[in-house]
Amino acid sequence: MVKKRKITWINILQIVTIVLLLAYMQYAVDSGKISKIFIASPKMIWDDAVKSIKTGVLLPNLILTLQEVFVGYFLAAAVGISIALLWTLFPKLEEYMDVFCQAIMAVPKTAILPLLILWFGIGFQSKVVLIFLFTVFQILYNTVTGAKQTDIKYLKVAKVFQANRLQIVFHIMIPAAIPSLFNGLKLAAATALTGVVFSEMQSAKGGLGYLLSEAQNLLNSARMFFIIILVTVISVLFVQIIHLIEYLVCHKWQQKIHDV
Amino acid sequence: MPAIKANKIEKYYQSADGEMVHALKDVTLEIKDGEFVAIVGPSGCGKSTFLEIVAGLLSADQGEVFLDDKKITGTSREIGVVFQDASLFPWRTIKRNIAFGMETAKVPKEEQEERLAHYIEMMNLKGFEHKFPSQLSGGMRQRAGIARTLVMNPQAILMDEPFSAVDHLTRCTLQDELIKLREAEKKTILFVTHDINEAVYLADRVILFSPRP
Repeated sequence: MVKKRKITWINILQIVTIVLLLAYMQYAVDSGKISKIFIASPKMIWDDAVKSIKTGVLLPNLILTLQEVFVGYFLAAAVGISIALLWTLFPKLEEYMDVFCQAIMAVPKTAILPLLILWFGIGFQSKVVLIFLFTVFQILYNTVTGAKQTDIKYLKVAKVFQANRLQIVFHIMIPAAIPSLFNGLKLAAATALTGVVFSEMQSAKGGLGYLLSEAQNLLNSARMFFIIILVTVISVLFVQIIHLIEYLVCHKWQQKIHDV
Repeated sequence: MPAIKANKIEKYYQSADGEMVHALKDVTLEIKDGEFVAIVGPSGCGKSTFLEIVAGLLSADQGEVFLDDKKITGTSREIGVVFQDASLFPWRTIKRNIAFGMETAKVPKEEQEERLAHYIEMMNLKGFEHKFPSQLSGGMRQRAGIARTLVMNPQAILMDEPFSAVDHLTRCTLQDELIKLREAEKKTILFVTHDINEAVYLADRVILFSPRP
């Protein structure tokens, strides 16, 4: 059941604060108190947003970025969850692979971007690989940790009923790991967007990060503000989508008696 | 002939500060076929440890446990265990929780359905089969926990403080249900509790464990 929320005086105060802040930005820029190189007024940001959509600058770049994010992210999710499953099934495999994964994970991903560009060029591929590297370990280790933290009482039940290893993994450890798997997916969703914008800013032929660094070169602060807001909104939406999927998968068994 | 026979059980474990604790000392116990035995004792007296050894979940450091003169070396389908808080899987519906043991034992689907229907009826769980454990009260959850054990038709049932997590009235109801159930099913039962009233009310024989051996 969704609780009905009442609008309190704190909510009103919050809205007033935002409106005042925007109004002051508008005033400060219009009156010349702050140079429009540093801050764009809300009106300028809005105008630029409309302009970039109308001139067809935004859409192809937005689509490119989204494609890079989704391909990289889903590859990472598929590979991360598969490895997590294999590790849970075969602990020896984890023992062998863990040190290598930890080592790769320890490398600051931004530092290997120059190498990735050398290997995969400045286009689509290098972005996908970077997003993959940014996110795969978050998904992998969250899932594996979740499986390992399976409550001992469930494992006792399994033992009493003489479940075999396969049954324990698929019927107990994997379901028990689902909440932390989703935590990993949510963390990775936010990280994926950070990764793609960063790499597009470094070197690219398109994408939102490319638009951002182009705007920086032209001292177009309105465009920079617009892209930053857009990227933030996409990031929040992405995390919310994962949140929704999680809700659909497990809300039934996670709801409490007083909700029914 | 005794159904369960524990012979000179010794168990030690290491406490968090590295001290060796003598959890069970020279425990010898015979439970006759169809007998209801309760073990009573304060927390930490080793009664749950003893139950887990009989269940085959823990191994004894010395001594052995027999079921019908066969030595117990691990868990067995002949010994069912009902856990303290039911320990149902939250991601399975009540029906699928009760079916878990039959799934692992690869009981044919038709027979599964038959047995499920019987025990869901018997444990008053009708209408709740498709609910998840989090949607049920503690008493209903423990009924499902008992059904999950009964459905496997084990020879002996071990119960580890099964009613400690439910309110007083529900506990009274569950106790009476257990008495009826025992008459109907004729199982050997080993029941661990810290509540002496419960032990005396339910069991044919009450065994007292002292705080430290």
